Amino acid sequence: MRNSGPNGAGSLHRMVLPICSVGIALLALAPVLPGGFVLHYDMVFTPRQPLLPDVIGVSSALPRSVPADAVLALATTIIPGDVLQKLILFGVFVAAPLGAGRLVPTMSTGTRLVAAVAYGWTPYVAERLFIGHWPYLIAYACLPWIVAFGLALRRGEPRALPKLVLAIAPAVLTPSGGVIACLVALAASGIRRAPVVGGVAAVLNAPWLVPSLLRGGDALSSPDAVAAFAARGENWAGPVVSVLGLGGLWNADVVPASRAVPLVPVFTLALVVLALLGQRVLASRIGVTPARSLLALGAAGVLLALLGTLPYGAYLLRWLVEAVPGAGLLRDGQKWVALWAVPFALGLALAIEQAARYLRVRWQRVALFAVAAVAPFVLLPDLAFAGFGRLEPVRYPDDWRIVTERLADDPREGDVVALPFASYRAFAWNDHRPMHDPAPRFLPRGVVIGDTLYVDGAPIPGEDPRAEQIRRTLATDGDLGAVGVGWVLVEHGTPGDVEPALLDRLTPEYRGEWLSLYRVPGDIGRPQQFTPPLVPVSLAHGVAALLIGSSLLVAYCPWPRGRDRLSATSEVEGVKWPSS
Amino acid sequence: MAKLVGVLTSVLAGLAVAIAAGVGLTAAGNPDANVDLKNNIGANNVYNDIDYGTRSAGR
Repeated sequence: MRNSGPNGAGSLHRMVLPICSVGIALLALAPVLPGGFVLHYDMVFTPRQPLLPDVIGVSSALPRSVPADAVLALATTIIPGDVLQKLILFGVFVAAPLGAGRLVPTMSTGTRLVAAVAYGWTPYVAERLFIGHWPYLIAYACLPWIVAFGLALRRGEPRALPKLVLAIAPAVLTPSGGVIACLVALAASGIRRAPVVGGVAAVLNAPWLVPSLLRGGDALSSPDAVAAFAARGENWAGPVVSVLGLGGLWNADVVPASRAVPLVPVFTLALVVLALLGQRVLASRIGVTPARSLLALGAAGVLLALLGTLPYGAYLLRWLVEAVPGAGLLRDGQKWVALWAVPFALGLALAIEQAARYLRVRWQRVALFAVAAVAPFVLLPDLAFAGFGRLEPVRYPDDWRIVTERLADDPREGDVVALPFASYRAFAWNDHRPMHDPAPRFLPRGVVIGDTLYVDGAPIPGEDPRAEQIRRTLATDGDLGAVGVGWVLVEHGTPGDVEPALLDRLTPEYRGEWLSLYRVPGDIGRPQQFTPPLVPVSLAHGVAALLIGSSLLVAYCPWPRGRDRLSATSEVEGVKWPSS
Repeated sequence: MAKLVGVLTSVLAGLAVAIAAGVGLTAAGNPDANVDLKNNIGANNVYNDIDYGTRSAGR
């Protein structure tokens, strides 16, 4: 299974990988691609997200979704939110396998397909999709492209740096994605390029770094989260094997049932051994140093993912999140196993390629590649068709549009408090699926929601001082107007109580089947300032955007490109493969 | 390459100025900062029977 020259068969071979990638995306997402929003756990899109200061991190909450919210707010001014959501998800499911298939240094189409499926159809993708962590999925899809351009930069290819910047940019929508992407970029590009790549990383991550540093409160997290969010064993083999197989997310509710099949750990270990055997081939083709760097980073990712489950690791993590601002990033450790995904997929594919060389008959080689490419689907069938109904598109009830218009038209000041005072909802109109409250991303004003999370009924305290201030005011029947609240939104058809005595003191503005809106009577005070200052945060976003824009110009503007053509492909150990 | 290094240098310098400005603004501003509230960050505990998740399979 080798690429042919520039003839019809060669063109066909080149099309196999993109077709396979689109096929993977369709297989995973086909049922959710028609109209409507997929609203599941942390995946909340709205028709048009308002462009409020919160979206760039000028908020009392930690900037966990910065600059993702800013990008969504800008994008939904021209693209409806449901269309944008599908474009993002489909793009992720195409870009991940396509990137891995292009990255693997080989002339064999079969090897590319094995790498593509091994990277694009994994427990990591399934579990992060089902818990709604779409920015992590974007970061995951970017990683093979980051490695490709990082290696090109290491080789000194022209315009590799701006292309690397453009490959990292989508991954920095959230802090964790940004850190993962930049670590991979540093490993791929090497120590000599570290100052430049480090500078790029700092600028691209500035949109969430700056508000984190300048936030009114501290950026410490609850240590209770360490045990709750530690990697979890999905079967009899425990968390280590689950994580090695790119699974092990803490939340059993979003883990595909196939992960508990008793044979899964056996196959997982076999695939891991093959992936490790393939590292030698990878090193011979891309160079020992970059291959070792990527493997070491992958090992570090596995270690970080397991830290919360190790005897002294959990103590270390508890201390870190309690004492070091920003260390809360480490608490959902399983996300770091994304660092292992690239060396795993490349090593596995190259090991299969080596094994195929021992087979003399062509059909046997084809069969080996076919089995290796199909294995991930067999081991994880329940990612298909959006988890066989786990995800379904729904429409927001019209109440949401009406309330949005009322709030937009009213000149009175004041934030909105959403009740029941909690983070998550299970609306009847969304088939009672748990989902993050959409109000902050829907309504055209600042919205305060409860930020305590519950895992198995046990609370994990939030970090938002404004949420705590409002909770206290509600609990003591205090004056909501005095703390800057002008409106109360009551969401119906979802579990949770609302104190009737509180509503008696408010002025009803709208009453619908799913939402009620109340106005807080009297003067509305100025909210207490827990937010970072607007100017430096805006500047941070501006310089990051400037870097991305200038990279786009440098990478793709049509000025003379004679040198580029000379190195459009790279040759390592006699194997040519595309450098971009 | 030289152009890109120039752009990067300018961007990093801008970022440094932004951070410095922010630190200054933060130090000068927020007169309402409430120590008591800061010390009790995250004490809210309103449970609406919706878990963010579970670690127990087959719940």
